Amino acid sequence: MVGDVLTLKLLRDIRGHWAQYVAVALVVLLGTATFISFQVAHHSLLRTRDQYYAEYSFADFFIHIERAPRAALHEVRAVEGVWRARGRIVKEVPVDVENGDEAIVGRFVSMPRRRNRLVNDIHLVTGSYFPGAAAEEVIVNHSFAEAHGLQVGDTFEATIKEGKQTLRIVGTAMSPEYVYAIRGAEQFAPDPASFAVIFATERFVEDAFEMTNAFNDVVGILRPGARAESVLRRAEARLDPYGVFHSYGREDQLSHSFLEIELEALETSSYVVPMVFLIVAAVVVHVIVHRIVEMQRTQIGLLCALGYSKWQVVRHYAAYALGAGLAGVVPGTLVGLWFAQLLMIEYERWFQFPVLRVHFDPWPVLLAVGLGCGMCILGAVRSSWEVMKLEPAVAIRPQSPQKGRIVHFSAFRFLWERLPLTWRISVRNSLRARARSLFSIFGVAVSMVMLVMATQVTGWFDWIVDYQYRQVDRSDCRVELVAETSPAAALDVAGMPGVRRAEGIFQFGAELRNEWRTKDVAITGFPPDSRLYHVHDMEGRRVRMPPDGLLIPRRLADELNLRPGDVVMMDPYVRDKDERPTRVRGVVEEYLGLNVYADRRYLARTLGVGPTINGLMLQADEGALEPLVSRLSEMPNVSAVTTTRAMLENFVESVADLINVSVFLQTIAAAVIAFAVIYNTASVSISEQERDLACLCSLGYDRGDVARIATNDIMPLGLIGVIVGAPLAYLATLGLARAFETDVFKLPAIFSPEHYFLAAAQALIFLLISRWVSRRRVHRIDIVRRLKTLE
Amino acid sequence: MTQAQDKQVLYTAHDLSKSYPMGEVRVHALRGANLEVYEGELMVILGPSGCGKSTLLNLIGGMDSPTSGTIKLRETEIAHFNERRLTTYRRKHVGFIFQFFNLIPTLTARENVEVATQVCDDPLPVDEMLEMVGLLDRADHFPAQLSGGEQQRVAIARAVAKNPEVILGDEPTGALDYETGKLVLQVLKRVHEESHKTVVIVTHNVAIAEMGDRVVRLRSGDIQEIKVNESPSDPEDLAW
Repeated sequence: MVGDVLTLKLLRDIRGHWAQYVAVALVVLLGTATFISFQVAHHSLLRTRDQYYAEYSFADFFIHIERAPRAALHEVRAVEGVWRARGRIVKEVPVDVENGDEAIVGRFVSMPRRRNRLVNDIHLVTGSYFPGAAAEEVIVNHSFAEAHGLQVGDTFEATIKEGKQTLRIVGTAMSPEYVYAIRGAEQFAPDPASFAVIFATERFVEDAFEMTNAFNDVVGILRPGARAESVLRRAEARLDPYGVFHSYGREDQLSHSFLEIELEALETSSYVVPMVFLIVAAVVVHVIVHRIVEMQRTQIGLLCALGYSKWQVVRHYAAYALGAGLAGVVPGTLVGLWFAQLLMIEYERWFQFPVLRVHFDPWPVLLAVGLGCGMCILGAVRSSWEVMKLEPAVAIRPQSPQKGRIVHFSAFRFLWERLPLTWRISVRNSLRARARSLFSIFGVAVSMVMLVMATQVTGWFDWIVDYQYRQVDRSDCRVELVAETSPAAALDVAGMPGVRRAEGIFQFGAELRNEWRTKDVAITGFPPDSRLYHVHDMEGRRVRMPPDGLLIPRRLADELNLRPGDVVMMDPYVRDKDERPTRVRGVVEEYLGLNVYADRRYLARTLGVGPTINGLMLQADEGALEPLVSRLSEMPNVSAVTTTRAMLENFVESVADLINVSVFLQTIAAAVIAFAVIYNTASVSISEQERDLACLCSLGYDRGDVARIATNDIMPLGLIGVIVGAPLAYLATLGLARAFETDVFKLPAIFSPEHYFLAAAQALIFLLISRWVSRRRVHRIDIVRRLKTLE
Repeated sequence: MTQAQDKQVLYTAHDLSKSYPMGEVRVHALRGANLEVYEGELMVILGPSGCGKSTLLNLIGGMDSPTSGTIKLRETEIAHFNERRLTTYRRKHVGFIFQFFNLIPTLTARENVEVATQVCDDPLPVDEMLEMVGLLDRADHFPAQLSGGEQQRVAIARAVAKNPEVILGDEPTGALDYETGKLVLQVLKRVHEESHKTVVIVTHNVAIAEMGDRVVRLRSGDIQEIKVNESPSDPEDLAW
């Protein structure tokens, strides 16, 4: 019975503060929903990935070589720690699809006729695994087929050895190797229309590329407990006679590493973002319960006098907070699971899994319930604990009036004396309730940080697109050549119709080593006076290619501990070329990819070859690009043609939607936080001032004036919050940029005042709305009752 | 001061009733009261707790509207003013003194008086008012630094400083001890004499009634008696 009466009181208290209650519940809801959605998405992605990898035997190590006889595979299998290994032929060619006008690169991957415990097996989505005897039967990656509307039975063409070869699709598939199907790290976002993975029979690929009984790629699985590093070292030594270009473990595999970055980001976000919400919720609960305890002081004294234990009373207020927690956690869980579903749908656009569905796991939900309710109770216990310190006889007496605090404004006396009295009330109130004022500032600052970060993402996006594709890479398309050739080829291409400018480039992969520090990089040699690719130093000035050394990005310089003038060892992934010393000549800025730049003549000299190029950069006349791409694709010795514009458009398309949604959600979250904090602190402040406000009414101030006086402090405190929030937002964006910096890309530390003005304007709008809602409370004050009674 | 016919009528309340819901029942706080308040008089409304005296005061003061009946300030009907007009009425014509002083804790004594004068058309000098209640030397103190009696004297200064037609005191000594209560009444009496303002005091204390020019007795929402006091006592001589 005793419990029932207190429960009844609890429910009535909640009804009396329902709007504040809803505001807290909303913040808890957001915290819970983000926690659950990110956790569930992370867990689902991880579980799907692991199942996929296990089921389709995704390799633990990868070795790219020039060409080795099939017998050499035994050498790899014999290495201690290798469980299974498969030799494949991987080759890239230009591809043509009917009615397709963009440049497409096709990557052939040879597959055995018999599919028995295959390392890097494929998952057939449609069709079947090489059902006929015809050589030209191929299976393509499902996303490529979807992008071009290709189905089983359709054909497309690949340019192999100067001739067009028609290929017939017998199946569409997914591969654990191409979950994030990008061709190279510089591509950043998958573009299924321009990159095809073509799984073809060994026989066909061997014939097509004159690789009979040979392979140029090894994928393998390690025995339990074996370390990839030592296995690779030994395998490389054994394959050395066949020209090892590059070898790496699973963690450096392109698709896997991108997926890993996403998983890490998701996991980090799943803790950081909800904690911000839940901390805000805890403090809001604290502010509300503190006020309720203050107002119900005599009731508390009475309950104690009636024989309730203090613990029962504290539990009563904790239950009030628990109610707020549950009111947020329950819908938050449902919204979180729904968000997780939406996230999965979004991830399906980026990651190719046979089945990507939400794996429901009870523990994130339990943790969310615990965290959401726990933070609210924590906020309440701190306030209601004060009750424990009171003797019933003291509690039952009305609280003595707050000690007046003379605010010494001597330094500002001039201003102070000119401040209207109604403002003096607000200033003194804010100074008296300092903790609450600080919390208001904190809430608005958090909101400001979220708003700046939301717009910052758009800023980063625009900035990188502009920097990478307008300032750095000024070419319209790139051509990769099958074999190295003389720089004169560039002149031939420059003479083709529609070509405004052509520059030959020389690029290869290499390992750079400074003592024990090593890093795999892509090295590109440009003509010294390249007009199509501008490299910039850390101050943003254009840098010319040095005649006798390398330009390395700052991230690489840091990682390898290199400075201009240092000698660095370069081990090129080029056949018969051993490690050799080179010199760092400059450190440059680089946001996408991890590229090392040099004068192509210097690179040729360093490798001990004559003037040579293995790729071209082109600038085309207006409207001449499309025919030029198809002509180039048909040329002998061309392995791939990629257009910068296609890459740019794909990049913009794939990211823009995602960014818009994230900006929208962040803005909503920032609004909820600002509203919950401001509305609740204002409500508590109005509740404390009710008698003063009623008194002003009795003096002849109208309700509008009184409402203004009651909420005077919202805008100045909010403004301080915005001002405090701005540098915090800057630090947070720097931190975020640093946190998301990977080998593949870096976010610029840009400061765009317009983002801050926009965020400040949004924050001020939230404040105005909160103020408007808070003012309505003033109109509900019962003047006569407030003036007649003591609190 | 004692002959009704010599006096100008300031307020006329006719058949004034006020009832309000309390839970599921309706409480009749005032039942058809008829009353005239004269200019410059000190009227005491006397009655036990819950008899409707504060309700009557609030209706005169424009803090509340009657359920039925009329109240006129001279020729102007104020009973059914809307919120905006009631505010203007309180601003221009009424000075309140409450039982619990109701000073704004974040303003000093002087500022508490100023906050009232700032919305008036023709206020009296703030420092003169503080001097009149004997608190000019404590003008820069906050309410929490003043005793109860001092706070109530600031409240009196605040009410007078507005230069209103009427000063309404709702149990002005209710929260004060005997000595302080008497002191506050003396101040009130002096203010009344010096400013020639109409003062209406509501109290349950029979002794206080002796200082009024007229005493209105209320019981259960009805005016039982209006007694003219031929020789009002000085608060100094009151005892309870």
